[in-house]
Amino acid sequence: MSAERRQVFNAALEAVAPATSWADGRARAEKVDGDTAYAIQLCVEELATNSVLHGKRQKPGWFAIDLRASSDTVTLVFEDDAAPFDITQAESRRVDKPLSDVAPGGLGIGLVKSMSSDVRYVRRDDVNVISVEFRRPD
Amino acid sequence: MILETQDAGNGVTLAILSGRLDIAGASAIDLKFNAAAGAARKLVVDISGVSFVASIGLRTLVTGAKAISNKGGRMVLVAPQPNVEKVLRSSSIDTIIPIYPDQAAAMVALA
Repeated sequence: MSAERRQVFNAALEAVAPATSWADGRARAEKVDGDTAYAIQLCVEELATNSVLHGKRQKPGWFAIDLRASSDTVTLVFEDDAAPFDITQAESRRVDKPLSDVAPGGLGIGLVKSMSSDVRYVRRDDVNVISVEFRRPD
Repeated sequence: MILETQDAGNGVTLAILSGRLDIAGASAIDLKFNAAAGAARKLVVDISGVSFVASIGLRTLVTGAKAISNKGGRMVLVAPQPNVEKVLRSSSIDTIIPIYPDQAAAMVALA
């Protein structure tokens, strides 16, 4: 298991791209394969965007990410100080209607779940802690 | 994120997207893409140069496709990179916006 290198970002849309870039750099440092690295970037993008846009904060906030790699899994740990949000209980939307009836948007949570092997959530000391696990290919 | 549009003939507009269709990329091209979709009746969107797509980018594509569909037209996607295609299929976007392997196949489909 690698050492933790948690990185904190301001809860602002301008921080989303640096966060995905940071996660990609960490994934490359851990020699994560390209497909998994892509999935990690996508999950950081979705979780960070969701935190910033829907976090219901009353004051400037933060989110933090960490990547923990073992020989068979990589775990993205996403934390924020937003309102409680249990992603495991949230609806996983995907397109299931004709184009005329589809409302654009709302697909991010479903992507996080479909691109990973496991998603867990705890609320700890007023912080949302989301752990997203990815299986490394054999 | 870069968006270029051109007249492909036979009433088809070709839009070529390249870059990252993330929150920054979608913001950069939303207006221009919506304008292209608003003006087109048959739109081929070549996304072979798109290296990353997030849900905000899917929103951009669906919004454009709905605008065209509301006028009785069609929008199709062309040549996604493997990980981009995985995102499109995971969210079932491919069920409402058809994906074709190349521009020629898309042109035939829209003919």
